[in-house]
Amino acid sequence: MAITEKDIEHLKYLARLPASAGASQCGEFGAGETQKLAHDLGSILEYADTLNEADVSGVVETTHAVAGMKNVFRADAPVNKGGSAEDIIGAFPDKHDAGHGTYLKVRSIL
Amino acid sequence: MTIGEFHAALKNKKISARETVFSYLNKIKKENKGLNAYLEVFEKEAAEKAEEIDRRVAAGEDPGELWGVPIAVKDNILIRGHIASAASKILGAYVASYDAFVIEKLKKAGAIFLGRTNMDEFAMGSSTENSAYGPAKNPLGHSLVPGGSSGGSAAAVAGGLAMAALGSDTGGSIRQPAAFCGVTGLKPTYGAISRSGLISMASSLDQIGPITQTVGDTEIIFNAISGKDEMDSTSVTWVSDTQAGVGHPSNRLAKVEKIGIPKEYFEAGLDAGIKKNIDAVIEKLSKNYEIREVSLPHTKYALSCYYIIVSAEVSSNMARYDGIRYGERKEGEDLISTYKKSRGEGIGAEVRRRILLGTYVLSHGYYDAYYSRAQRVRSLIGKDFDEAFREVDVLLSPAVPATPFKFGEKKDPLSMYLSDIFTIPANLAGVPALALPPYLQLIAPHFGESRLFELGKVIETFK
Repeated sequence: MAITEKDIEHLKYLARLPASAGASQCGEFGAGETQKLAHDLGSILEYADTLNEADVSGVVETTHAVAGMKNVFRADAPVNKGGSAEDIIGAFPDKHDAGHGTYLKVRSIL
Repeated sequence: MTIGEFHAALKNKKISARETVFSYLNKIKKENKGLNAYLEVFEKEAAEKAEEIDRRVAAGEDPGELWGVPIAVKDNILIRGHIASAASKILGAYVASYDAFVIEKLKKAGAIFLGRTNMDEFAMGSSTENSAYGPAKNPLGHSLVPGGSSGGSAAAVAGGLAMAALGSDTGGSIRQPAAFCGVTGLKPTYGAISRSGLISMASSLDQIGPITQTVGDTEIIFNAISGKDEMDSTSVTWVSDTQAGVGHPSNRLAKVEKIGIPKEYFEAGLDAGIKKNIDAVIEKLSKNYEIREVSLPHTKYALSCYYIIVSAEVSSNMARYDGIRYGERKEGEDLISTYKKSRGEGIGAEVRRRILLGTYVLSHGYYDAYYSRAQRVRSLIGKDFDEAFREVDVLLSPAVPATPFKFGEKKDPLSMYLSDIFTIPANLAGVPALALPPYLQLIAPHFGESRLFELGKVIETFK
């Protein structure tokens, strides 16, 4: 399966990765990165095409990693793993202290 | 010193936890610069904890098996209050707000954490060359890779910089570095150990497991960290290999009598030296065990199947690293450019390659051709194992196709992926597998870990 450079740019958009032009400072993902990625993905997918040789007629997909496991529910009750609100707030990349609590700060969305 | 030896000495007051921990800390101070096995050492905490253990032993308490045991922890397993970066830039300053289930268990068991170990970024790689903090080296030769992704953990144990270590294994990330560094490593049955607090890579394949000096030590740690956890709905109640409802009734036979040699693992591509070593082990085993050739006909599809499934799961698991709630944020002009900038600067080449591949195979029009087909082939690979284990109790194979390679030797991604060719099938099937010297792998049916320990200990006596 050939992957074009245009495909790569579209996939990057879908995956929220920067387009090549904006990534010049990112090491391996510099100027020639789209080309290299198109080549890499193309050869990996070509290798993956061997899957087409397998006879999968009548075979069911593996959908659960543990065979025979049914939906697992737990009680709808708070679970405290020992983590505190301070720890979680402390990990915010940017925050705003509103006086009555600390908020996660992000750029306006609309 | 093994865990067993240290425990006996501590119990008989022949050694203190403090002197043991300090001997490791000193060795780390001297040798970690060259080895780069640890990204961070918890010197003060380890020393304090050791003193507490010594006080309790002096006060007459009977020490548990893991009291004072100095353990290295892979950087993708959360320890509350410590950085867990998964050797990435985007989580470079991320401090864990809770303990992983396995950490909670080990803390209660009295183990001491020496530090967090180097790895391939987000556990994607087979050499630690994808670490954002420089690769770890193989103690057997610094020009050689230690394997990956748990390369720092394997190097720490092999180099005597930890008594034992924790790693994680999605397609061989415990067993391949254990084999490369000449130590022992276990990928447990999927569900045997909770994944809570493990930074996710491919959730249907990831398992935490021990890397140790001996099979006995692997067993000790495995017993300490396995079990059902409310925080991981795929973890199961541990009832040794008599697990009801999962696997097969034949699993209840704990004693190993018949060993299967899967012929597909010995075909072209296997290093001649490794094959010779394994043949010698089989020869010795044949005196007391029935050796039978078996076939796992879908083995040739395992690598393709694995990379489709892993990339798909990676692309979805990595979506959470967007620089918003935690991790490194790089502000852009608007929200979407903030996502792109944060991910662009914080996530490395291999991880991005897999995100894009996963995005592709899951996209409309390609889903059936790749992801759905791979999940069907995965069922066939699982069936291969089911059928083999109707005939034999344990499978014996090479763990890796070749001895450790040199840094920079595997330049294209596919050749790097091929070094996991013998370890991947066990992850796809969810069965447990143990790597031990010389470059060996033992595979058992679901929840058949006790068979691996039993046979592994026999093989250790051949040295």
